[in-house]
Amino acid sequence: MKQKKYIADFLLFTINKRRIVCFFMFILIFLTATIMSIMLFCNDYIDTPQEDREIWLQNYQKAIESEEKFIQDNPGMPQSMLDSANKKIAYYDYLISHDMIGYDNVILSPYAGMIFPLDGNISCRSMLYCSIFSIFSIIIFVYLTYKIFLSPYDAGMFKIILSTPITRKEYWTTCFLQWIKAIAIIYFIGTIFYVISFIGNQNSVSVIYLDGVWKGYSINGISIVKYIAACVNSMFLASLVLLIGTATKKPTYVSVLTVGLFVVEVICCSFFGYSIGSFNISMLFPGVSALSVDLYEDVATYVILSIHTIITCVAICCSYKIFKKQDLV
Amino acid sequence: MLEIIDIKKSYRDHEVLQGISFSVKEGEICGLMGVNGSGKSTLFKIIANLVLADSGQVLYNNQVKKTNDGFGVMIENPAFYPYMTGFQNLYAFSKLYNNIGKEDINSALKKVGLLNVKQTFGQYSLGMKQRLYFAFAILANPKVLLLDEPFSGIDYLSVDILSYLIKDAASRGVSVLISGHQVEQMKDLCHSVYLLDQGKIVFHAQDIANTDFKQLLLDYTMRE
Repeated sequence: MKQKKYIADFLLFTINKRRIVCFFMFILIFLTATIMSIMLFCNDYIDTPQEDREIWLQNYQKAIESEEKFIQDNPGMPQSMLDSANKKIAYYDYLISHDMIGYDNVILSPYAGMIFPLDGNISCRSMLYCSIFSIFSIIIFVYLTYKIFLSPYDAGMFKIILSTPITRKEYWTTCFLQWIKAIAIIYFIGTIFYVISFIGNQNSVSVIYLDGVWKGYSINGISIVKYIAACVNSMFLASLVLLIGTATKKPTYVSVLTVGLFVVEVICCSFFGYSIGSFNISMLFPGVSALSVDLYEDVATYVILSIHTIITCVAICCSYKIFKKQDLV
Repeated sequence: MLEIIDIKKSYRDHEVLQGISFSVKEGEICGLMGVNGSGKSTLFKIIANLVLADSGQVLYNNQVKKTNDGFGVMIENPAFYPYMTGFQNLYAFSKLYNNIGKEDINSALKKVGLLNVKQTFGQYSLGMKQRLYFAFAILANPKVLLLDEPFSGIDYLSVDILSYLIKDAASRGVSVLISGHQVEQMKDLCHSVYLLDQGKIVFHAQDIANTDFKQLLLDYTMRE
């Protein structure tokens, strides 16, 4: 139906010029910051001081020797333990042979699937870049959620829209599809960078080890589960905006508050370090869990991922119920 | 013909509409009067599909009304985009209809006297806002106009323009359902008037000229 096609145009048309400029400014800064981050990574990687490289190499050698000693000292160990030890040796061999010095830590921005491989020590500068990406991506998410679902409702335009031949079902279906589409586009962009990030490294799919312990599967050293967690977290925050905005009938304030809270979270993580942020802060301010990643999949990841998934579903259902109660769907 | 059949609506324990039934013929201007809280706006919203009724039906030409196709709706305060001009607003909303071109928009704006106005909607006076809303209501050449308090708080010029346009629409066969508090205005416009009180139709006036609506409203409001 021709009208259905136009709802999408309509939603976009209602973003005025000033907002379009702001939107593209966000995109521009977002992309610029991403490129800078990649350059930063390359720079850090290339410019790792020789003495640091030697320390890293020594650590890898020590880890290999330790595993080899462990095998020698325990000839009767179960096959699984032997396999595990051999995998660890192979892993460190791989790092040395591919000259992947300092490639033990990565950081994953939670809101656009962006990946930022860093050198061995998380620098303030790197954290700052990551924070910037996260802030911009979350602003885009919150803005889209607000714009698509809540702004016509907030401004009373819902009455006007529904007084045209458009039915409620058509309207909400289109809104939802637009929302999904917007999320998909952002993740698509994120995934492109994800792919770009491992083009130069030939690391592809592998098993993550940290300090010699298996921590999950990864692509280019980045946990797949973390990537999924990042996607879920975006949905999580957007659905919370939807829920609280609907319930309080103040979506504008809720959107601003959400972004504000997120900024606070990110700043907290930047200041207090990312190991603290990995669990405590993420539970206080749930959106940040994937930002404050450790490289590996730990219990916290699964707990947070599960909680966020459940809350996301509940939030979407509650929003629907509230809309229904208010005769909006 | 628009037929409203036994419409009931409650919000929690409060019965807002208690079985409203009436009809509006082709070319008829039918008025709804009542004090605030009598259920007029809820009834309009139900007819316009903005609120779902608990029971009852709205029929248009003997068929259950499902969409607002063929209906022009003007309910409560207009909520257009404040940063757009009248033309831009109508152009944006025209995308939700089939086959409405720029000529149609200009024609509707001309009728309400807003064709050459360059101000944005946010800079409009209340009267201009109401006129733009009316232009939106008549944009798709509707067969039925639902006008909830179109004269509320607007200047005389806007009242005159809207009154003329409503009469003109009715003379072309458009059915008009209108609500308002301005007794003289309603008497001047309407062919028949229904009086609503506490969610019920309590009076149907066909001899408009000789009905004292002020007294009727006072009687129903002040009674025990």
